[in-house]
Amino acid sequence: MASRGDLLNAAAWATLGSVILVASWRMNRLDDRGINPWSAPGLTPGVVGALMILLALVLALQSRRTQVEPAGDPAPLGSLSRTLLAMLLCVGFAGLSLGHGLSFVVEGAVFIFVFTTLFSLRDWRVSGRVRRGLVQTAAIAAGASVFISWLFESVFLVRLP
Amino acid sequence: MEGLNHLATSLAALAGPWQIAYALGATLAGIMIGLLPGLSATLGVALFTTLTIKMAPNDAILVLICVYVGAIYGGSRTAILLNIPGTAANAAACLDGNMLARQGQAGRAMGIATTGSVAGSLFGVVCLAMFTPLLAETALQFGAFEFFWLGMVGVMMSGSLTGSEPVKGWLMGLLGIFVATIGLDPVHAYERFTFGHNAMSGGIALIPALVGAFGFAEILTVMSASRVAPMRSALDSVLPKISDLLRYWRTILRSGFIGVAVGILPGVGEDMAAWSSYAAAKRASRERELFGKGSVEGLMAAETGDNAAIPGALIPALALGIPGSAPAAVLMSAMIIHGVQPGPMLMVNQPQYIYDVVGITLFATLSILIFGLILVRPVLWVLRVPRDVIMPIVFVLCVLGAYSITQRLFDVWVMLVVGVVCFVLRRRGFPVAPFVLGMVLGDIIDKSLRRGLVLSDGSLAPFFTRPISAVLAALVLVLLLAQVPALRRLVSRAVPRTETP
Repeated sequence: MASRGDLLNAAAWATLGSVILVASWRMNRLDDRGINPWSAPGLTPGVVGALMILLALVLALQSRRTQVEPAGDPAPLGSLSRTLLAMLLCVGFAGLSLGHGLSFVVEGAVFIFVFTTLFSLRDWRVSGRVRRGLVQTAAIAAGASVFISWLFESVFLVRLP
Repeated sequence: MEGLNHLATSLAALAGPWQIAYALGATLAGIMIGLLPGLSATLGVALFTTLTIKMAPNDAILVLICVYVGAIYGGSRTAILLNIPGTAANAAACLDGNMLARQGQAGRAMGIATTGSVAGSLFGVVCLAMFTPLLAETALQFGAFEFFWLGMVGVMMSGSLTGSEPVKGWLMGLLGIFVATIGLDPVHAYERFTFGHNAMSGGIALIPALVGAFGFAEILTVMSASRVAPMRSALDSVLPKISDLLRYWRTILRSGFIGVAVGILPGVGEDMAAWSSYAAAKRASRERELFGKGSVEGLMAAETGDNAAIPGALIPALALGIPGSAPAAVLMSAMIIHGVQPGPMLMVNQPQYIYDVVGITLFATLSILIFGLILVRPVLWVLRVPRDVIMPIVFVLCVLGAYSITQRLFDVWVMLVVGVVCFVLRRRGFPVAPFVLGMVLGDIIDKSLRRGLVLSDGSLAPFFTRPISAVLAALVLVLLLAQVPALRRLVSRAVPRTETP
């Protein structure tokens, strides 16, 4: 069921479509190469941009026709913080730490250890298993990272970052 | 006769010890992937594509198809025991599978799932062998105009049938087509939307994008959800009963046919096949009141349908170069990486290959039968590993999977960005499958549109007047008009209402 939140969605899609359409229109038509104008590089993305704007308008109309409804399900605070933490850890590992000369085995092990610890620490405290949890997680993190690295490098012959 | 010769050759080549080991190992890995909620068949096939790059082409495709079949089958385990589908394709199995488990018949439910999956897969394999050459021969008559509409039908159908609102699905499809245009233009090698970055000249690679959409986005989804305590269910015998097979043979045939037909539809996938088979079985059943309360027939129908859709999805992928599902899209990419060009010319250039795929799918089916009978209990230990441990390990695999195709950190960034965007869009009700189809079909749509307009000197007439183009254009129009509220009301008054599960 469409909702008023879709009005925001429609605005975003219409903006994206407009940007694509304008960029496609302004794209070089390669006249100096004497190409057929119907094969210009900007043709397909231009059509895509125009269709996006059209569908965004339809989405906006649909959202205005339906009754007031909350826009999707706003994530409960607990799950939003878990989502952001997971996103931060993953982007930090994959986007920022890789490719700077550190061993992938070490980076992978640290990432798995930190990720698991941050998400499981509360449960460990409740059950009184903090030390055991940390030791087990460290062992799993190290083992998994070593195994995955060996698998990719030695069995599947992939050079690690 | 020639087809049988090709099939015999394929089966002989697959009977080697390494091939059998690959088939069993890959199917087991696929079952593990399907077992774990949050990991999809698409992610499994994408990750294994990166692992198998250095393998011989046929061995690589053997591994990938076995992972595909194993993952779709494996998801039925958690559907039955935890009421959580391991993959979207197993959602229909939750309804009756879990109810049977709660009645103390978890083992019987898994036996039924195994039987249905094997039967559906075998039915699909027969259709794959029969229909792929026919479709490929028909497609030799297709030109630029037909391929344009075929691509558009794929994207629109995927948008219409996945998610709750077609407009949102179509927008995602358009986004996928746009992303496919980033990089060097395939006609004139002109850089589009690269903003001067060399890394973007090669475009946005499909595998890293898929790993992002189905891997990273799923990890974020899983981590944002509350924990689910696993249900410890005592397992009874998992051996399928012959009486179940004989009693429901009509259901098996009907579901197999529906599964293949739905699998052929571009971008629709195994989950729709499972639901369609389930709904049809319920309508035709004499035990309709049992559906949703532990119906053996319902579970059989769902699992037969979703596994029959796998070979079904491979039919258009091989014959037309148009994938029938997201995992089939990844398989197609893998074939291209290994030097096979799916499409109408495949029957001309490499006719043996189609029968190689038939033989491989047959091997994968036999593997799920073996594991379904002997490995139920051992495999279930995977479910005890907490998600806080599994998910970061899966993410490390996603990073390496995205990196290993061309060994560029740029692809890792593609995986991250696509993952975050798809996660956010999914939360706002936009389905991901049409985006994937758009990326896969964008190149065909782009080239065909421009070639068609060059051939017709700017005239749109051939797009609507050539016979096959006219049929495909009419199909696009039907898909569009089907969403107009006034027309839907008119149709629903004219057609009697049918029960839905």
